[in-house]
Amino acid sequence: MIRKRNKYFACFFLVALLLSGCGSSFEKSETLSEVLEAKPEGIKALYFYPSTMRMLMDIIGTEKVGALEGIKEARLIFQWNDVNTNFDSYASDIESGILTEDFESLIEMNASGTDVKIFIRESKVPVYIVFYSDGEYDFILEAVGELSDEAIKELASADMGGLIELFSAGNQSEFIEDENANQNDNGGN
Amino acid sequence: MKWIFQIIAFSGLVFGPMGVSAQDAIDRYFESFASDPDFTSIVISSKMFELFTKIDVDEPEGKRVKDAISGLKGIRILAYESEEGTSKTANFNSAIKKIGSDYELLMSVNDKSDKVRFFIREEGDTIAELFMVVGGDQNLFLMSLVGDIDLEKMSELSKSMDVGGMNYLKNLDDPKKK
Repeated sequence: MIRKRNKYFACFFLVALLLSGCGSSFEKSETLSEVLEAKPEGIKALYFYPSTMRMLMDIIGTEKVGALEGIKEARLIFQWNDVNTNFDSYASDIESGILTEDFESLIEMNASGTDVKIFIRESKVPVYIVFYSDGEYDFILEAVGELSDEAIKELASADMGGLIELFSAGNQSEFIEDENANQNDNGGN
Repeated sequence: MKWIFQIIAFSGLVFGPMGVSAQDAIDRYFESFASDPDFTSIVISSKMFELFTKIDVDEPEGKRVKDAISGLKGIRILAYESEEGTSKTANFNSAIKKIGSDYELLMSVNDKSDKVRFFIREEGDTIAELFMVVGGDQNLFLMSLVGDIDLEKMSELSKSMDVGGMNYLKNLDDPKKK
């Protein structure tokens, strides 16, 4: 009887464990999620998961993206420079929104027409949000995970436009991926 | 540990702080020029320094830098460099005039190309802000360090860096230049 109960308990424990692994356990920005759910016209979003990061390192090489190794998940929101959207307005709204979510400013920099702002929300797993604008590319990057100091430097200075182009090669049409579908595909990493 | 200053190198110049209680010279300049593409502006918040203090470092140099940084609450930098022949939109003299009475001149250095002025703002027995103005014919560099400022540590910090206006901080422990 006890052995049978233990068996049920083990099954229950296993199911609970699996369920807890489904869906994202990371506390991403609600403000960003709301903006993406509204599917704004002309705005594209890419989602990065541990598997995506591994793939990136395999394809591009760790020397280029190795500094981002600590990122568990990321969302990259951007527009093409030839697409007329209200990206500045979205960025401004998102910046105001994340400040109400306990994000704090780390760095703000404006140099030669390039604007970079980095915010952090410290929690069990820290969340970083980077606003980048250089006249050619505008993007907002949310990175969940432990970032090395090297990674923050990368975020502040890297050619993120190259990363956007890499991911969007051959796909110039607007797309917003289904985040939930991705999470399920990735088994809730 | 040096990456913070490498970010500055990325912009071609250096950086700056937060947490200034009263509106000071650099605040006034920020209002006017922070969004001007001819200026480089950098603001590093107290949160960043808080994160620094959590980083484990083994090397003596890293420990010195960490020790120097630990007292800082923010850095703010505004830099301008005009090309030859273009009109100057900001200059050294006007920057000096905007400095409030809370600031006391600590040290001045005139070298071949630049004039350098260090100002401090005291709160009680401690230096709450170190403000540096560097100006030449075509350039202006303002840097404000806020926190519990230890001049000796700031001088040490500058020796570990090889970046833009930071080198002028080395003069802080040079009595001949005071």
